Amino acid sequence: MLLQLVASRADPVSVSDVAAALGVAKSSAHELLRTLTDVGFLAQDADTGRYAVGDGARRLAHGPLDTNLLRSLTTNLVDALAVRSGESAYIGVLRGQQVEVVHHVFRPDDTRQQLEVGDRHEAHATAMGQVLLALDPAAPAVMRTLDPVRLTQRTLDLPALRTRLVEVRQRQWACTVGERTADKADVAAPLRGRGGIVVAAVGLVGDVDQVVSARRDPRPVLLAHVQAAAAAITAELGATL
Amino acid sequence: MSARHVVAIDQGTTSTRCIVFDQQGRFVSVAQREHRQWFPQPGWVEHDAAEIWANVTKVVPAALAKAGIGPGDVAALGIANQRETAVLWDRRTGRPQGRAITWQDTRVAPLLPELARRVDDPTLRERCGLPLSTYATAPRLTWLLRESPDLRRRAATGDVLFGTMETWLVWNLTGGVSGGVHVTDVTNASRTMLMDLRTLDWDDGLGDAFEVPRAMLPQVRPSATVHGRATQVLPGVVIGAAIGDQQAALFGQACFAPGEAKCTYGTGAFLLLNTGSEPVVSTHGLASTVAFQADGEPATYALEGSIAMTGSLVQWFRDSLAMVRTAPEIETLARTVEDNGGCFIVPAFSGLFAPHWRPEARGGISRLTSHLTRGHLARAVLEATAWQTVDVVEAMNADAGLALTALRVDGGMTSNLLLMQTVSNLLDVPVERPMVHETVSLGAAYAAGLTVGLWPDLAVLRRHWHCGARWAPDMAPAQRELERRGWRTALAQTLTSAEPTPPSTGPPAP
Ligand SMILES: Nc1ncnc2c1ncn2[C@@H]1O[C@H](COP(=O)(O)OP(=O)(O)OP(=O)(O)O)[C@@H](O)[C@H]1O
Repeated sequence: MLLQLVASRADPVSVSDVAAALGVAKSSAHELLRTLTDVGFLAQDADTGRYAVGDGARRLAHGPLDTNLLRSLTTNLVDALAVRSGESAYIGVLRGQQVEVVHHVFRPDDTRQQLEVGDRHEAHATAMGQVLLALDPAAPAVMRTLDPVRLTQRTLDLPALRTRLVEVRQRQWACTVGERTADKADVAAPLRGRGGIVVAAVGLVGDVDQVVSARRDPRPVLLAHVQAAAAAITAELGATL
Repeated sequence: MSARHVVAIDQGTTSTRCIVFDQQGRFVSVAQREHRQWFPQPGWVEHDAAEIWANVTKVVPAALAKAGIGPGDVAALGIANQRETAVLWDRRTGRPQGRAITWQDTRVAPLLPELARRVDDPTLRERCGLPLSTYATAPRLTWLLRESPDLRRRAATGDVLFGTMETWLVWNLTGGVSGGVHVTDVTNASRTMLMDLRTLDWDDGLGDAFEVPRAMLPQVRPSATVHGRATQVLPGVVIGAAIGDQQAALFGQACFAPGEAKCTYGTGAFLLLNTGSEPVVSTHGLASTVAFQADGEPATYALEGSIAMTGSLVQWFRDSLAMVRTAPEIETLARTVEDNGGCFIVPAFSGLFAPHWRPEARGGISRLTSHLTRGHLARAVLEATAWQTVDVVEAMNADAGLALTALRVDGGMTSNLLLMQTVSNLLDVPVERPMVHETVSLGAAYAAGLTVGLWPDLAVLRRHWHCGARWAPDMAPAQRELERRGWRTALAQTLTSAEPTPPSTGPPAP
C-alpha cells in the first residue's frame, strides 16, 4: 500500500505526506519508509530527504534477476576464485528443483574443458543447490514437493537433506562429497542482492581428494576462498542490483 | 630479490587505474579514478593532463595500501596508456600548455586533404604503417602549432615538450622540472605517424610534412627497458616498461609468436595480430604497428584493425531504442529467438572503418520483415560485432599470408557468451578468454617484470596464461556461407547507397 502510494505520485514524497495519507504517526511512517528503503524498494533523495520508488521495486516489476547481467557483474571476482583455488568456479541460480549454471570459469590447469553454462543439476545433490534450497526465497515452495532422486550411493534422502539444510542455514555454506558424481566434491556459499536477499550461489567443484580432507570437511583454504568470493560478489551486487 | 610485486598503471581514456600483481602474475589489488572529459566543441575531446597526473599520485598509493605493501616491495613499474593523445607542456614550469587532445578528437579532419597532398598514402603506409586519419597524433601537432605561433617558437627551441600520455607520466615520475626524462616507447611512437617503422626513430621527412620540430619530440626507446627511476609516487622504483594499451593487451594475452592474435571488445574493438620481426605493409586497409620491443632485441610488429562500433552499438540498442535496460540483457533478449530472422545491421553510423575505410557510408538495417521481433534485432546487433571481426580477420589473413588458428579475446563484451560463440562460429576458429581479465595492465606488468629480471623469459610468462573459457566453432559450413551472403549483401547496400567523399575523416566522436 505504501509502495502504491509512493508510485502513484509524480514527485517524491515526504514523511509527512505518507503519515497524512495513511493516517499514522510520523514516527511510524518514518519507520515504514526506512524499512522499505533498506531493502531497496524505495530510494531516498540525499538532498531533499524525500522518497521515490527504488530499483528493488522496479526489479520486481521486471521479473527475476537477469542471469547474463549477473555474470557480467561478477566475471572478475569469479576469475579470481578459480585462479586462487586452482579449481573450476561457478555461479548457479535455483530453477525449480534444479540449479542452473549461469557462469563457469575453467580450472586453471590448461586441460581441455567444456563450458558448462546452461547445464542444470539436481539441486539437492550439489553444494550450490543446497545453499539455494536452504536460503533462496523460492526454496520453501520447492521443498514441499521435492522427492530427491538418488544419483550416487551418497545422495541424501529427504530427511537427511532437511537436516543438512538446517546446517547450511546455520553455517552459510554447503559442501557435498560424491552426492552427484562419486569422485567429485564441491563447496558453495550464498550471493545476496540488495536487502540481503539470496539471489544465487557461488562455488567450486573438484576431485574429492583435492576439495575435502580425510574427514570430508572442505579444506580450510578452499572454504575461505569461496567465502571471500561470496562476500566480495555480494558487496558488488549490493551496490548495483 | 625481496621485491616480489609489479605495479602497473593503466592510463585509459576514461580513467586511470593502478593494479598490483604478484610474482605469478596474479591480480592482487586495484585502485581507479576517472578523469573529466572535456567537449569544448562538437568533435573535440580533451583531457586535462595535470588532472591525470594528480590521479596517478592518488591511485598508486591507494593500490599499494590495499595490497598491504610499500614501494620497497615493488620490483618494477610498468605503464600502459591510451594511445595517440597529444600532451604539450612547458619544460621549465611543468605546466601543460592547454588541454590534451585525445585520440577521439576529430578537429583535424579539415586539415587532412592538405596533408594528404604533402605525403601520399602509399608513402605513409610504407614509412609509418598508418593510413592518414584523425586517429594519429601528428595532424594534432600540426593543428596546435598552427594555432599558436608562440607555441611553435617555444617548441622549436625545445622549451615546449610533446608527449603521449606515457611520456608525460614518465617525465613527472622521474622528477618533472627537476631532471624528468623525456622518453617514449616504440609502440606509442608507432601510432604518432612520425616514426619510421623500420629505423624505430623519428622520420625527418614526416616531421617536415606535419610541421613538427624535432626538438619537442621525446627520445624513442624500447617498450621494456629501464626508462628511469621514479623519484615521485614510488620513490626508487624502476620504471621498467611503457607500452600502448592495445599492444599491452596483446602482450598480456601472451601473443608472443607470429600468427597469434587478440581482440579487445569494449566500446569499440581492437584486433592485433603478431606478424613477427618484419612490419607487414597492409594492402587491405589495416594499420601496421610495433607490437613490442625489449632492450637490445629486434622489435616485434603487429597488424591492427580497429572497429568503431561494437559495444557502442549495444549502447545504442539500450539507450536510443530502449530495447534493454542493461547491455548484458541483450543476450537474454537474443536468446528468445533461434536466429536473426534474416536481419542484418551494418553499424556505419559515421562511416565504415577498417578494413573498408568508407567514411561516407551510412548504416542500415536490412531485410526488415513483419515477423521480426526485438529478439531478432538483438541477434543482429551482436552478429554485427562478429561479422566486423570476420572482415578484419580476413583482411589480416590476406595481408599476412597466413590463416588465423585461434583468437584470444578480452574486454567487457566477452561476458556475452552468445556473442563469443557467434564469433567462433563465423570465424570458424576457437575463441579463448584468459583467466586474468585485466590484460592491458598485465601486459605492462609483464614487460616491466621482464626488464628487471623478475621473470626470466617469455616462456615463463606464457605459462602464466590460463584459459578461463573457450568456444569452439559449432556451425555447418553451408549455414555459415548463407549468413555470410546475408552480411555481404547488407554491406554492399550500405556502400553503394553512399556518396563518395574521400578522404577518410577518422572515427566518430563518442
Ligand atoms: N554482456 C554484454 N553484452 C554486450 N555488450 C556488452 C556486455 N557487457 C558490456 N558490453 C558493452 O561493452 C562496453 C563496455 O566494455 P568495456 O568496459 O570493456 O569498455 P571500454 O569502456 O571500452 O573499456 P575501458 O573503459 O576499460 O577502456 C559497453 O559499450 C557495453 O555496451
